[in-house]
Amino acid sequence: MAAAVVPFGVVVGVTSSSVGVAPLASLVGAAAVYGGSAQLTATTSVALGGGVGSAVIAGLVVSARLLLYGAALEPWFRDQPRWFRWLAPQFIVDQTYLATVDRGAMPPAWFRRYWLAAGSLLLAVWVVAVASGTLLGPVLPPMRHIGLVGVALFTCLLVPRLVDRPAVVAAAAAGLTSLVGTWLLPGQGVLCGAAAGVVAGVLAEKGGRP
Amino acid sequence: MTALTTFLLLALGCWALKVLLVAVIPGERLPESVRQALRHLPPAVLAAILVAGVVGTVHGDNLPAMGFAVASVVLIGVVYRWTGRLLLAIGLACASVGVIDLVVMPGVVG
Repeated sequence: MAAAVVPFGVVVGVTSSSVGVAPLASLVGAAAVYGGSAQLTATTSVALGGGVGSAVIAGLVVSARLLLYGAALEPWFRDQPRWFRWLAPQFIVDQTYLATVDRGAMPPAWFRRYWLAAGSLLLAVWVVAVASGTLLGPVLPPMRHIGLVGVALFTCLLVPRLVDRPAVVAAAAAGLTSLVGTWLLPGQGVLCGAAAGVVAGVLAEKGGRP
Repeated sequence: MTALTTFLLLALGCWALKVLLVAVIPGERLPESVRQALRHLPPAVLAAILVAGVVGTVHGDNLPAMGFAVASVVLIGVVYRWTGRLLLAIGLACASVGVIDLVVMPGVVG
């Protein structure tokens, strides 16, 4: 799972370097924001001359799916200590969300150890990947399509989930909506696609009941 | 300094999004229908990320490069379905990146 973030982290680092963001700021951003699409969006916005406010809002809009992840993961956090419920959600990202949902229910203490270990490992890999991109970007050969490696990893996560009709319908609707959404509302494709996919999945499930 | 300030404020906002339905408004208060609907979120969000990732990667490419990239992703999905080997899929993806950047679109840099 951690391997999935490496190509994206490198891309974020290379992009930050190419638009003149200081390496320290990139690394602090990688550790604190802990979200590639949000950081990339904010970086691009700053590079294009947007103010701090517009860059932050753009990054937050791109990250709106985190609300859905929080709602979906709440059962795992329900019986946890207060400090964990307030601080540990910082580790909510695509990969930790998907890995947790795959594992299913866990005893609270077990989940705490699992979540902190997985989140910390992923964070470390992420920061190292961004640092690598920041430092090596200027000397790497131009590999504009390196993002396809990350896409391939998401493909491998998706394929085993296409096990029934509602899942296939949800994925198809999400993909099509994401395509249109990315084109019409840059930065909103994932959120629009995810929302449409959930609705389509619910409808397919209802339609399939006797 | 602007970038650092932006990232720190963005980090605060992202954390707020993450804790809102975990600690502030616990999800158990959400209607059962909403919680049931969230079961469809994983395939939906993965498909959405996948498509957005492909679109973002091939943006501005010529038609052959776009076609090759999309065909590569489909091939990777089929190969992973048959073999279940993640390393093979990553290898295919790396090879595809090399072919697109060095053969299909040589000299075109982002």
